[in-house]
Amino acid sequence: MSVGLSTLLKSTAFALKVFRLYWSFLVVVFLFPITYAVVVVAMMQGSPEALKVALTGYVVIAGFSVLFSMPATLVTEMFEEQVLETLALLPVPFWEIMVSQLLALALVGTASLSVGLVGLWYVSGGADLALLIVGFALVFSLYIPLAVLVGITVKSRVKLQSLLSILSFLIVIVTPAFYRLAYIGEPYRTLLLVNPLAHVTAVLRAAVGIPEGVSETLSIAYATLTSLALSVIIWYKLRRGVFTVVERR
Amino acid sequence: MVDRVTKVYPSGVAANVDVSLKACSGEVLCIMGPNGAGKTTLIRQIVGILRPTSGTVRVFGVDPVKHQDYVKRRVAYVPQLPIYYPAHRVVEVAKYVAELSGTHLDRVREVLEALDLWRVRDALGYQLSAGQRKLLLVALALIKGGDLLVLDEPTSFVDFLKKRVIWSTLLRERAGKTMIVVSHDIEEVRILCDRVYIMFAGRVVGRVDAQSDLSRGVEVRVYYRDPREVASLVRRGVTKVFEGFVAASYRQLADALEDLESLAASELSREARIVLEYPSMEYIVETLSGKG
Repeated sequence: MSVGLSTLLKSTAFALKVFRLYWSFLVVVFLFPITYAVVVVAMMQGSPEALKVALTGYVVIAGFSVLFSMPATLVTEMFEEQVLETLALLPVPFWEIMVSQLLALALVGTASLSVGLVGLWYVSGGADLALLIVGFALVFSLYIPLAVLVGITVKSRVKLQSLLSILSFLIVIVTPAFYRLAYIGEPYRTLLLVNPLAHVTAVLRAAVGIPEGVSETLSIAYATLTSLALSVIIWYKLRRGVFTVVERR
Repeated sequence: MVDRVTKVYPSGVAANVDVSLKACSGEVLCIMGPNGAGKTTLIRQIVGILRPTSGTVRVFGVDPVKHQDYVKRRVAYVPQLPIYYPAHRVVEVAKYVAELSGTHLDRVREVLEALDLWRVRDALGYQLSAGQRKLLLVALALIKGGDLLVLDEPTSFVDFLKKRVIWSTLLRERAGKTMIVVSHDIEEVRILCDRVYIMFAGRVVGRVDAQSDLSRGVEVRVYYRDPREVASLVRRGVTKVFEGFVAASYRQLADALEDLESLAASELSREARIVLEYPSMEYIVETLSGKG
């Protein structure tokens, strides 16, 4: 690998400057899940369980905003023909530009999700730290490959915005972020467990002592395999270079 | 070197058909032609963004798609449209490119001053005019540097005074470099280029090897099933209709290019085959004076 760490860091710092103009995105990243969390806490009268459910939900839904919506938009823009041309001017490989931009968003995501994790640690008074970190890592490893895959598949910012506006509601329904999976009856429970984010939520809840009735090992394995499968599909789509994606427009 | 390159998009559109051209070291090569002639597609294959359907492209002896990292180091590219960095200051973008390229930071100021961008160095991208954005792309290519400069319409969106600034800067920078310039501007071609390829409907239809040829008479032959229809589209040349083709004579290349723009916009551009030639001066004079 000819690319140095300093180049990657410079590119990431350069990418982060985007938020100087688009600062409202940063606000939305925090506001969107906090809004849901406040509603849940208010409805459950502030019980410790309600707080834990709300905070795990916050981590999953904040992840959707900052680790899925924003990276998917960024990747879609990068694959616009003219933007790709501009990037061709830069003396660094395309993949490194993409990684540095994703890294910038991952940093923002870490800041946003950490608020939830610190809250969970504080509320639970003795969470399983290892499991919490695994759950945290699974949020990243699922959302970012999914965002890249959606970005290089949709390839149109307009279409992506329509898709995201629908998904932002669907995600709240099909992921037990703000409700308990354990309270859902069959066959809906099995259907919900097809969604890997349900497993990530279950891992985070198990870490803070709220079992959802799913084996943590099984959930970790399912989410990890899904992440690997997404990465293989991305590799397959990009195996002949980024131009093949542009040409299929 | 581009050798017999054909590029067919998955949609079935043939953007380049059997195109061959060669840029020698230190030369400024120009590609001209009407909109939709396939110039930008060709350029994108040269810089390795697109892969040819058939034929070969070699830049410094290597396939630019397979060896994109190597080609990126040696090629500086100015895209056609002035895409910009809306949230970054002019000087930040310039320094970023300089740092990644290993260019000394003094060069940033030198290039920005030469292109009259130093006074807007603290402006954010979204505050720049279209012309300034294009100037910035030219500046970034010069800051990055390279042995080959590929410039896709470097002065589009730019006013006349700034065009002169770009031309004079490029002329100062050309020593030791090879340049490929896509242009619609005959004056730009006169000032910058050593050799010109003319493209139409994806094909190279003519070549100008000497600067003096740009100002002398030229003949365009258009092969089409209904030559009279072609003749009706010729506005600036003198036509002779033959069986299966029309020969149009022009006083200079600029006139021929204007008519080629009209032909390119018409339906017959899909089927017409065009050849641009420089016949003897006597032939052109006789034709234009009506004696031919």
